[in-house]
Amino acid sequence: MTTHPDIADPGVESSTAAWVVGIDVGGTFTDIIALHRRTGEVRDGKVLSTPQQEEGVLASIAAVGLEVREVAEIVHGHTVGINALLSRAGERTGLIATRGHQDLLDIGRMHREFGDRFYDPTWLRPHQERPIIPRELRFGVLERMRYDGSALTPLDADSVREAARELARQGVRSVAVCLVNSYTNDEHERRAAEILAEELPDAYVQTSALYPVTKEHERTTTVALDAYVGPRVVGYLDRLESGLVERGFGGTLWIMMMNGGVATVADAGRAPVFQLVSGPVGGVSGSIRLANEGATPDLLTIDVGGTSTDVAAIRGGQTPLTDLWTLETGLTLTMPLVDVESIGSGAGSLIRPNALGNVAVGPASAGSDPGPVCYGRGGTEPTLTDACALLGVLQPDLFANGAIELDVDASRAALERTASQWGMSAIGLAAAAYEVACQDIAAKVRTISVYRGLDVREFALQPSGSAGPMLADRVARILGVRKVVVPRSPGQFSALGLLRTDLRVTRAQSIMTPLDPACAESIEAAFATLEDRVHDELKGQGADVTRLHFERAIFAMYRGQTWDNRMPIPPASLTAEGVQELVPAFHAYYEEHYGFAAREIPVVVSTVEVTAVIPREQARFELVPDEGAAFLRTAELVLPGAAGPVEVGIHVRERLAPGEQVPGPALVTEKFATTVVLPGRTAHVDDDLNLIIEPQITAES
Amino acid sequence: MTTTTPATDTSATGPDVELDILRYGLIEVAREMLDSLMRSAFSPICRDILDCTVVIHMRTDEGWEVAALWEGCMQHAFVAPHIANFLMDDWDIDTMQPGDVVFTNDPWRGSLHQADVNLFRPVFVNGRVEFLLQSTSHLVDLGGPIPGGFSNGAQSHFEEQLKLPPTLLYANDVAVRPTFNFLLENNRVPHLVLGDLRALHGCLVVGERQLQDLIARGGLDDVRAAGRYAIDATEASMRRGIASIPDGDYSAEDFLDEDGVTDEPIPVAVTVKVRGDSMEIDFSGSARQPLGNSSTAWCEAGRCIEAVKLMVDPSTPVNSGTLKPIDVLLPAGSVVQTLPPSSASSHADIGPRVINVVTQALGQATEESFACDTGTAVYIGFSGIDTRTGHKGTPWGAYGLAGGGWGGTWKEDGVSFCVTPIGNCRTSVQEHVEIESPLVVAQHEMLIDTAGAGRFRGGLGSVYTIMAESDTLVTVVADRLRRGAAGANGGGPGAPAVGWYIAGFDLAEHGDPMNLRGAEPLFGVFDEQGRPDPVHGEFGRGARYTTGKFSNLVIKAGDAIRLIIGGGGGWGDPLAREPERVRQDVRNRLVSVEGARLSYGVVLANGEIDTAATGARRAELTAARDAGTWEVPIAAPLEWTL
Amino acid sequence: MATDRLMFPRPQTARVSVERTPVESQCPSCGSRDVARYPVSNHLGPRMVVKCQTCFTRLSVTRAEPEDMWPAWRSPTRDWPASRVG
Ligand SMILES: [Zn+2]
Repeated sequence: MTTHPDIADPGVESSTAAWVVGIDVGGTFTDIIALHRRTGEVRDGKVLSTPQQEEGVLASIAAVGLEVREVAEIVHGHTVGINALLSRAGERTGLIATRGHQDLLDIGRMHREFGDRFYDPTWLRPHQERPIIPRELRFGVLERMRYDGSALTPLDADSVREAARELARQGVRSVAVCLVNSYTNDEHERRAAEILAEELPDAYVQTSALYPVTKEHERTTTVALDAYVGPRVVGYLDRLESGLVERGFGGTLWIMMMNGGVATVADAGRAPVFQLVSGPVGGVSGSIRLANEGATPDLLTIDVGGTSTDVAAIRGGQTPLTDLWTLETGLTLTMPLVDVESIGSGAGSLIRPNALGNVAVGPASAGSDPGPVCYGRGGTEPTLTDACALLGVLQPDLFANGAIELDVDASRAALERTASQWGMSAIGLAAAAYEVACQDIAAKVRTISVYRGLDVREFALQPSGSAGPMLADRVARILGVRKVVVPRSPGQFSALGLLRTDLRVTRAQSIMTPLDPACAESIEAAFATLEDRVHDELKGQGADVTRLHFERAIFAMYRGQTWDNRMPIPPASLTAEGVQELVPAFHAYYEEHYGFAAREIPVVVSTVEVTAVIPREQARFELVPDEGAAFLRTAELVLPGAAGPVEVGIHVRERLAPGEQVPGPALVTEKFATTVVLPGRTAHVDDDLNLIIEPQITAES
Repeated sequence: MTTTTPATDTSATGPDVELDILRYGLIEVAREMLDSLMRSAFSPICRDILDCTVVIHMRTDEGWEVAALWEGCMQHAFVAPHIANFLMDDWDIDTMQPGDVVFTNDPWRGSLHQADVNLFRPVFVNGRVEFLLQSTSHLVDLGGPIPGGFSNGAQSHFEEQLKLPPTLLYANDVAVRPTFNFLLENNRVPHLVLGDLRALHGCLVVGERQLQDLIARGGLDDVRAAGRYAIDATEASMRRGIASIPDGDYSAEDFLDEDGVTDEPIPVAVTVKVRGDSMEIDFSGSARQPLGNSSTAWCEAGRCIEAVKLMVDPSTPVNSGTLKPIDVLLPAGSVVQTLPPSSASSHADIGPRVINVVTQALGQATEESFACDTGTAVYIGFSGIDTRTGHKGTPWGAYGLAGGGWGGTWKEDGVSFCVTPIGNCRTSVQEHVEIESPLVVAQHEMLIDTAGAGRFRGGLGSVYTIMAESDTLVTVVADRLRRGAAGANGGGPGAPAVGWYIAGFDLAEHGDPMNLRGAEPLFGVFDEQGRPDPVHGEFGRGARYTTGKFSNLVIKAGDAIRLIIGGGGGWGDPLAREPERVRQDVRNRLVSVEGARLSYGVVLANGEIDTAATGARRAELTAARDAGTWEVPIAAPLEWTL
Repeated sequence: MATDRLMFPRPQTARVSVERTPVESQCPSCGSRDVARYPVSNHLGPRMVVKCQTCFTRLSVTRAEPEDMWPAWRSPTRDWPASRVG
């Protein structure tokens, strides 16, 4: 891997290169936002994503008129890992497991998939149907650790060596090593990894060391997924770095991680699995910034892409985390990761009947090829985009900055064909599809908000993605959310989010220690050990550790339980008094979440977690509206709840200045997005050029 | 740009969408309740194995109907509707107050067995009980002579666990001390049971909070309408599925090996009658109730309907609408409706058998059928007093489930590592089990040659070996010991269950499940040398037990028990399976080279298909089958080491 | 008597069946005269049905009469007044 002697710290300025860019690779487009550190000038762009993602990344820099050498920092989210996983195009990978446990990946904790296929006799567990590591490449080696870290059966080095040689014969170039109870004593795993390195010197080898916590299945899955995508991701980052260096790059490349922070390439390459879906996380990261800057610390986010919509709930400006991040049933990552959920409704989703015979939008999608019918690239089945074109929500001449002239007649014809099965008109089906898509997205938002005890009335809805703003006002209405915040450049919001993300490196260790003042020293020691290690690692990577601070969390449960609860705690050294205070806090947390507390039962700290944070200095953005009148023209369109076509004003977003108001019904079009403002609502522009949509204030009210 | 359309057109999905959101809201309340229950429970049964479910019952003119639920375990979804109605038949609704919780685990009021307890909490709206929230889970222990809930050998319910008719557990959210005292003082692991009871109650508190929010947002009338919409939509979908089956009477018969008391097989007979979009499932002709505990009291009335769901309507959410198109006929005093005071604790084999027999009957009516799943959980319960340093004197209880295979289907192989469709059990987190219990999970892997052969084979069976570090009391509940899960459409049966005791377990010595050195047969069909052999062997030869249903076996510290659970049955002719798929199975050590030759007629040499030899072998087997001298063999591992 | 339906003998025959009692009636849906009354379990629990045997139209669905013994067992206190705790 290429290294840079002059790795910069986040936000520290270099003399020659003045641009900071965020680049987010999506399924269809690679989005870029560039920010000039001194002038605050902002440029945005969009290029088609390429199979070799580094090509699109380099092209995107050119697309905003920059030379690579002018760039000081790149903050990057990509899809190399997730693409390799979804298409099962990862490295040919072997598994070294404890003898008797080679099938943990297939067991998948044994339960079925909740949802539509729960009772389907033809259901196959994803790993059985499409294995990451086929059984012929899985080996149980002779060894066994007990729960307390003592060896029940010592490691038989020969059994590892034999397996390694067989893997070599089979052409394996990556190996996952995960042994039972290794979280408490990793001696056998380390020795096994050494033997593998001897026998397979060129192979990628991953062990539980990437996140040594309990739960053998989830840990094995995490290590196996890492080994499967690791070589692909590391290879990609390597190629990207080389490509950048060849073009004179002397700055720093940061990678967006699923813990909600960025990492150096070196750190990102240590456990590549934790950057599987970095793009959507970049979006959430941007939303967290927005939540911390504006008047609304509580945001519900909908990032509407071509094939799916990512949703997240941000409360109090805090990063939402989940401890059950699952790729497919049975393939779960152990580390708490940013909680983004997806639903298969996007701008390119097909309009078809569902199982009950009702109008459904998605999950099947026209994708980018052939795309919606109105793109005129061979699509024949109507999509949500076609519905919006026919409704007038998408204006044919204003779409995608004029890059594509939408063929509304083709959309109408396609909608008519599909509508005939319900005896509906094309426009009726378009309105229904728009409504269904909004309802589906609202339902998904509800699962991560209302059903997690959040009162959505206190939240604002924040759309992103090119299609987000055209649905947001209606989604908000369905949810009972009063306020919609459409950020600047919603089409490049994830890329923008990348630009504004702190360095965050998370490490954890299972300790299974009572939360008891008597144990304060050993808990503190576990924290301190992790912090020292991360500090040294980051220092070795050239990071500015003088600005580093740590966040801490414990995972706690009652003795005798399995499910632990992540509780952030103050970063200060943990004393006996500090522990004493945490106990009642845990009981209170428990009562709130589970309807009871068991105050007489000792609380156990299963795992300690630290996150090293180096904050990014937040650069100033130049926020100058374009010249000219914002009002463009009027048009007739069909809006939700309206009996027939209504006349609306069309306004150009780029020309709207702070304080300006747009009364609904209206469309606000911009380079890569269109915002719908419903009747009875008013949009106004705030000082950061966000478009805020709220109920119209009338004389009576 | 736009065309004029009638105003009504744009709201074509209007009313349904509104109701659908509230319907979804009800399901989400249930999901949240189950999440709360699972995460806050103490015993591995609830928190890991997921043998628990939550239900929202809605008050209707007829009684109580399930509007939404979230399964941990499939069977609970089908038995919950009756338990609520039995309970409310016996409880004066006018005496109920907010925060009350009523408990019952009575099999004659619909409970699966005494170990599966049910908590009900009324939800008041404007002073009237409108909903009942239910949480249900298997508890680790509830007293009686045998730990864990499966009272093998018991011939009356007096010899089984505590059995409580509807009893107040919380009054206005205050624990009723006599009830708790009764449950905890008569218990081997009171700390685990107390923990789970708290979690079961806590999830009702959480659920009521969420449901009241939903009602506050949607209004009671609309929430009730949404519940009705959910039930109607599911019923309609179920009826469409039933209507797709040609009218007719379809009969099938299967059996349980025996009841653990006598040696007699127990036939389970069914006639499924289809008339348009209605159905009857009639168990007339089934065996009378056995002497042992292998029958159930009432739960098959709902549980058998899961078979129909699996066949004709797998995708809609289960609620009372799932049950509505079907009447079930349970002969009084039969193995599917045993009369008190008989024992009724071992529901885990009759349940899958009932589902197997109904799917076999319906399989005659449709090409879109599937072969039987393993049909037995090969359940193992452990308990004892810990002797490990730092744990000395702690009572403990744990469960083991190895999974098994589902049958091959009309379009694909069966899934492996999946318990019978009455459940949806997860594995325990082994690393946690080993902290809490003096056990070492030494082996949990698929076992070669255990899947029923077929064009689409069954899911694989597996081997499960547990070593004890303190003396451990064991209960085993296993069936299908003589012949494995039946195949369908010409597919072969899966492997039967086998058990061994291994003294002085050493991974280096006993790490290969195909090596029988030091393994003493507990149960199964064995040849003269002690190899399992369901085709030529003799049942019980050299084995400690002549049943798979026994209790009070002690595993001494340092020793181990090893169980094989068979795979699912195969679907379709194995001689028609793509040879390449057979080769892949051989590469992955799921089928042996010899097994490929014997059951699939595929001849492999050095890992490659010998096309000519395969053609000849398949022709030979086809001719032999036509002549009545060959049938698809029962799956069985072949390459044992003595 | 409150306690008369708590315990029952094991059936004498090896196999047992549900009896369907023919009823003089005609199906309103299909006109068939093959109508019978028998105990079933429906979505609510135990009920007595009068049903067309040709098309399964339910002519009536009722709670069982005491003499139907359906189900055989019942709570010994079913007609007693309820206290606060049941
Ligand atoms: Zn009729």
